[in-house]
Amino acid sequence: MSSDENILTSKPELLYRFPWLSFTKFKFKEIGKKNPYEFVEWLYKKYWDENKVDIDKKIESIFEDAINNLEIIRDFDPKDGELNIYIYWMLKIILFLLNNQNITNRIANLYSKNAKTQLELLRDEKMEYLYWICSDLGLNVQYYEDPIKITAVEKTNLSVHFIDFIKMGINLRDDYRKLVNNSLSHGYVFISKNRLIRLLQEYVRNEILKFEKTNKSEDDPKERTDLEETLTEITAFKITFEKIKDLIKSKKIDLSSDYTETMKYKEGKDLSIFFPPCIKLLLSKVQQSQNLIHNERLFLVFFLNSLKYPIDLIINIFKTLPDFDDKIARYQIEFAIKKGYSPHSCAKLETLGICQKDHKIFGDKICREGFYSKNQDKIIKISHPLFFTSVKESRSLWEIKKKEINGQNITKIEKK
Amino acid sequence: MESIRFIKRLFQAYYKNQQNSLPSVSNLLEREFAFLTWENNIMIRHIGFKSLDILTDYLIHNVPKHMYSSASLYELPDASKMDNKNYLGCDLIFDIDADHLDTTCKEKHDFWECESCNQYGTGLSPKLCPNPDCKSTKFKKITWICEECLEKAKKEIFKLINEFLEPDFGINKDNCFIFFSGHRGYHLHIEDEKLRKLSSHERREIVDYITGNNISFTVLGLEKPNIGLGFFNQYAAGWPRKIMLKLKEILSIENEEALKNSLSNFSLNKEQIGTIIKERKHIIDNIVSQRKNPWNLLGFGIKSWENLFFNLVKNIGTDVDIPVTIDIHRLIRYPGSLHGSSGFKVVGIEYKNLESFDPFSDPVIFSKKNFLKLEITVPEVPKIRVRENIWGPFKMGEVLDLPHDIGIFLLCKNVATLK
Repeated sequence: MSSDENILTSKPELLYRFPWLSFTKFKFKEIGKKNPYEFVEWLYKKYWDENKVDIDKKIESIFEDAINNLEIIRDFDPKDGELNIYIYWMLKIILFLLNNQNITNRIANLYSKNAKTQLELLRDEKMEYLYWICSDLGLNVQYYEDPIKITAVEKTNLSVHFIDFIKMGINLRDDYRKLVNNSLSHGYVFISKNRLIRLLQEYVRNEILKFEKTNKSEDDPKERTDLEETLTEITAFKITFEKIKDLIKSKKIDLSSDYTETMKYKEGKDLSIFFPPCIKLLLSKVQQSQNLIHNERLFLVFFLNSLKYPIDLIINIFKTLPDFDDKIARYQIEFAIKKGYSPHSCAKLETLGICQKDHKIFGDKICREGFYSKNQDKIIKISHPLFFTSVKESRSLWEIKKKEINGQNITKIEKK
Repeated sequence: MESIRFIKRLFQAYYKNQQNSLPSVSNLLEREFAFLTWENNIMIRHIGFKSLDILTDYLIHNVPKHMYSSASLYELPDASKMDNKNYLGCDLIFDIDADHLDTTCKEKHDFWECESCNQYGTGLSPKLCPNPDCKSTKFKKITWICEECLEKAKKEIFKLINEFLEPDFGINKDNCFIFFSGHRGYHLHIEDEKLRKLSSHERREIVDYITGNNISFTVLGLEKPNIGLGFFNQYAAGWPRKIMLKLKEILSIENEEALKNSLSNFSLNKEQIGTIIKERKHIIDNIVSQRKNPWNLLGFGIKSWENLFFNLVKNIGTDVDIPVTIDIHRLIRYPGSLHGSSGFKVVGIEYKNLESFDPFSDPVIFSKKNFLKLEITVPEVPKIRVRENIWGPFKMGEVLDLPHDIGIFLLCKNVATLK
């Protein structure tokens, strides 16, 4: 298929339906090259002043849908044409200014689900459209005129390079996205329409998650405040922005992440069942009186101390070590505790060779692959051993709660 | 100490000889280097070199026991903290280590010695010393190498390239850089800009594919054996094809006893083996046909298929050392350097020469004409071939006049000292 056949040049309605396509920047480059102030000013002038389109309401409605975790953007209509693209660009600016991860997540979820719905509407049309959409996003895809059978019941005209396939689906938790469960040949994964659309949905979500940051803003937070100051000089934008902020406030969105509670040592409570594989192995080594290297000892002390284990208990744990000396150990442990060091991160533990996520006995899937967060609708990776412990405990509490709820239900049914 | 001084002198002479011929890794300036010292086994890392000449000079002056360069590229490879190095990407690395492979020879040539009572035995070390008066948990372990285990490691490299990397991943074998590690196995490096950008989690997907870990037969279509096993036939791509071709290969064994033996390796009971043998023609027909085919055999339900497929996957998958591939800050042995636990050279091998590569001869660089006197210091040294000569087995206390090629090997393996 040659590039001059690009369907996106002849079918602008696809751009209105999929405003996240990169071809929009080329097609509307005159507007795209405006700076944020010029763009916002131009947008209000064109749509509000000249055409009386209520941009405020449109944007507000998107935020409302996102906050309410809806599956589609209620106010989204491909017939709105170019406006869909400009609204998408506006969202980019607003999310950057809000700098609120929770809101960005929700907008990303909403837009990606909306993308899925719109992509599914293409399903009865030619697969060729999906080829051009993928190519537009820079994905390495191949198109076959004659469909290829990939399962007993499914055929496809498309394959995606395995690197793009892996990257697009890495945060999804279902077994369908795993490379090992797909038809891989000569570097390409033959993929059904449904599965490709699911990956594109994830792609859109990830693209929106990037809105919150620019490379510069990480180093220079002033960039954000300066931009807000400049843009709120435009009265119409100021009103829109304030409305959104009020909306977020009024909905009292829980801005906390999934797991925030830190577990603490309590006499009689066995916390070790929640420990990460690295700590479990170190404890098992200590129990077997195997020597620990310096970094392992320090890490174990920092970890137990973070969970507020009493010093005597920590010393007791080390007592089985072959070279244990009460005085020296007490001094070293007290010194480490006094310094208040926190345990190493998973990245550091990997470098030190202490990470045991793949250990035959203690290895843990959550450590290796992360876990699915329902709130954030994505896979969260474990980056710290304390985080792992907290996740394990939360899951265990949730299991207990679930059992209780189930128990109550059963009781209710029985009473009936 | 005298032994170490002696080995170091010979290693130094080798590195002097390499002054203009030590191979360079790609992107030398962006790699971190690390060295393990002979004295106290201290790892010196976070070192960067501006040129190959400076690196060679370093080797001549410091004569490390082991030498590594990073699989990763960094903007500042010599920064002392990983966070400050500015990671740029990492080659895709596969490590096949005879130590991890399921070989029977380990039982014969690996051995342990109790550090308390000196009792020794072959195979894996026990948890407790079998001597009832000792019961120590500390053992000196000596792992050995032989033709069988290194041949198995080589076969795994061939399997990795010819059954996975080339046909499935589309990676041309000429872009696979193969190295003999200088001791127990082979490394395979792929230097590709896109692959270099893969995160550790993303690399796990590749490893899962190559090993067959986390395969889901349900996703692949093993749901309704009465109407067909999804797309399990030889025309499929990916794992269903591999599984079916393997099954066809096994079922094509004509001799029934041999077929029974082969099937017994896949955790099937007598009845299941009987059913499979009875229906083998029918199964082969299903594998070679493209129609929806009935797979339900009397006494062989979906669980049995799953069990058989699971065991076939274990047989088909490649035995790579998983942590090596998924670690994006791995240090890998440097080509052309000497392995301090064998004295053998880390050798780069072109694919076309892999078949004929002899790990007991090609990486040996020390002379067979110069001799040294040494004494065996462990209860038993298994036999070993170095170049064309087979040496050993030796017993504790034996004093031997040996050529440098085998002598240095025994000193590096720490099973002998200079006499």
